Amino acid sequence: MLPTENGYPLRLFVPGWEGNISIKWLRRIKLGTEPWNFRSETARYTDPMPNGKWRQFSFEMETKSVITRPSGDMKIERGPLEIEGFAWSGTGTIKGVDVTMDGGRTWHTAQLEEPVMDKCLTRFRYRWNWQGEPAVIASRAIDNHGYVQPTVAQLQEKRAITGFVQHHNGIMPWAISQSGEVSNAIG
Amino acid sequence: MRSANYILSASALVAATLALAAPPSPKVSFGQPIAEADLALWNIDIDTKTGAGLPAGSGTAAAGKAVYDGKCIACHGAEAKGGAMFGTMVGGIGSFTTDTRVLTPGSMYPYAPVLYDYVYRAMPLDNPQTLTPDEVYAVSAYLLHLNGLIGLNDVLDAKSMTALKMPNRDGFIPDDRPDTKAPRCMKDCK
Repeated sequence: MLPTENGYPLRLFVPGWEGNISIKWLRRIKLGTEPWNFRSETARYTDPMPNGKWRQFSFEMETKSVITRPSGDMKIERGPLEIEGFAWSGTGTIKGVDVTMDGGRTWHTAQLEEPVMDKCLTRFRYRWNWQGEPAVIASRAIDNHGYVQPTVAQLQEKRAITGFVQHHNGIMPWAISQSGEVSNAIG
Repeated sequence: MRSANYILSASALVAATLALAAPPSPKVSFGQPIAEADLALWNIDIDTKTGAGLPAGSGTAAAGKAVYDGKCIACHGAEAKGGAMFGTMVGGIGSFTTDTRVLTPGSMYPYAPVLYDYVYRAMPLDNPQTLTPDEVYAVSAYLLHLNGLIGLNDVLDAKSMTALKMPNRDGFIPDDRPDTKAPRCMKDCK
């Protein structure tokens, strides 16, 4: 059953494209030979690029992942804990997820949870024994084309973006304080 | 937020795929066929490149000021410089090569009919799709005039609006991702 808030009675579903393209409360479909140039696709969902340009019609969801536990506003205790999260890609299948606990200096291969399917959310987990040291944790997904989820800095080398804007598939770090409080550490 | 206009562009490619397999005539026991006249009420999108779909009618910036001051000023402020709810709709032309890009209809839209499509479709926020074609042309002319793109008494209609060369016409590049090629470094990274 499709709940009203999720689009009842009819919702478009577009595998591989960003989720908000799967329009809720679908009323009609109109065919075109190319995307329409509307306000949203010119002045809102375009990415600033070098030399004053804008990248347009970025519909495909690039490979991305995020740690959901622990994550912002949580508090962790010393000792063993399982890091958990999701990876997904509109370009294909998740082949691997790496996690870091030292802000990206060292990465460890996480375990993927079946089923791992094309264009689907893929769960991952990694066992960690936190000893109370301040840490910056993050995940990094790799897809079946060998594409590696970039850091924010790597994205900013290519795009003239500031902040966490649309079409942003950069690595999303969480900071853990000595007392175990988890907060957003995006640069 | 994705507004209703996005339905059209987002669904196009998917719909094209669906259309390949022609379904048999549907047998349903509810609803009724929609009349063309009813459908026309929904069929308001404009091909902003060619102007196809722009209705008859016209307006000038001089006339548009009255429309604006009556129906837009509360949220967008005097002379579209920003108000209670929204930032400026004026300026920004030439700002994209600086560190502070200012996005306005004048600086951003590649085709002037984008303004018509959006204003009619979505404005005024509390009562959209109630402006007449003359009002939409007029208020569009007012905004284009405030951005220095047309004169106060230039007549904006389907033809002149389509012909207007917007400064950001060539500002867009199609999606060319993936643009990053990050290495899968495991040790001593950065």
